[in-house]
Amino acid sequence: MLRVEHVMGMPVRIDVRDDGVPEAAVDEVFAWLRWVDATFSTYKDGSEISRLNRGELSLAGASPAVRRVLDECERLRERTDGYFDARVRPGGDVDPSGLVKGWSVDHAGEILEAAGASTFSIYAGGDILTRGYPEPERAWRVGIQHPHVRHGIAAVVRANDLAVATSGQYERGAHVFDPHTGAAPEGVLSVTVTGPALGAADAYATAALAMGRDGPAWTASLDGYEALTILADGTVLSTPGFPRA
Amino acid sequence: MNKAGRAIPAVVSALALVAPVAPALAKTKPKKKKPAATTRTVQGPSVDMQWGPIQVTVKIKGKAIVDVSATYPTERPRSQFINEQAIPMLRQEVLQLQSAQIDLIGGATMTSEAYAQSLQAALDKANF
Repeated sequence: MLRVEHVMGMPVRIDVRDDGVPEAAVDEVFAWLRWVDATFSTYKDGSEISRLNRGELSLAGASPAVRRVLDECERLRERTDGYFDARVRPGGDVDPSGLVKGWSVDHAGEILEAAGASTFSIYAGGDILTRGYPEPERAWRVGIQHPHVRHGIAAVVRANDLAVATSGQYERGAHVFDPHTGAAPEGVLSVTVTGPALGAADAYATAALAMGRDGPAWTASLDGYEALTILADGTVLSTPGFPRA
Repeated sequence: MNKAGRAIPAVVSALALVAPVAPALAKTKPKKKKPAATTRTVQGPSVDMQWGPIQVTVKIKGKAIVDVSATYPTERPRSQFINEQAIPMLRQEVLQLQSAQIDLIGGATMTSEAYAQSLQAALDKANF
């Protein structure tokens, strides 16, 4: 069962390989993602995040999901030495978008598993979550977009029950910057982080990219997550346990 | 500081040498029988990496890469250390991409507008 829909301004592609999983499970996933968009989007005036930022909603009055996501953003800000920061300005508005996509896909995976799916992949705007084996004894194989060659890949990941998140400076409209200086990072084209949860993997990839040349060494300090960094001079660096296919 | 037991990342590949996957997507097109392909050797440009120049030689039979080799500087101990790790990985990678069975393409945030032009969309078109 393969479905592609556009939610949160990005394509979401759900590929369930198990027999007997009801289509309703995939409907439920897309309904969940639309709820997340309505609740968290900074582009929607009526979202809880927009209302929080205008002071019309208190944190205590927000959904438990909103409080959980903002707590997790704060934990990730500390873990990344402030390089992942959901506060647009210190003390000002919050924009948890950098975590929301991955976090919502992690929960989408739980919805599918609860419906009996064990072999599936979810692709959301370039980030990926996989479960099970698409063929006997063959893990999902994820190509990492080549930053210079549009129809080329720079590496292949063996994605066995894995989240794969990439942050890069090659996709038009992408804008990662160092929250400490406001400057765009130098010397790095893209960072791919793999690990158990897509929310954290995405935040770590964003942080490592913002760190510029210091990112690769920092990624080696992560517990349970591995990283592959493509530098502007074409060098590819990866942590020793990065799951290359 | 890194945590105990974790080495800092090792250089494992040089991007300039990675082959595009597009030929693998052309599998849906009907193939014509061709006479036995001859093997030819193509030498790439010398690329200056931070540890010195690297030149790659690729052996091609028909349209498939059958072997990859590279020359690299050995005069500096640091270069030698990096390249001992880098070159074997490069060989592996370029060869694998020829036959890579790719399920999905991961990349930096892909908007709905960009998706139609993306490698993921091309992959779906080839497979479904």
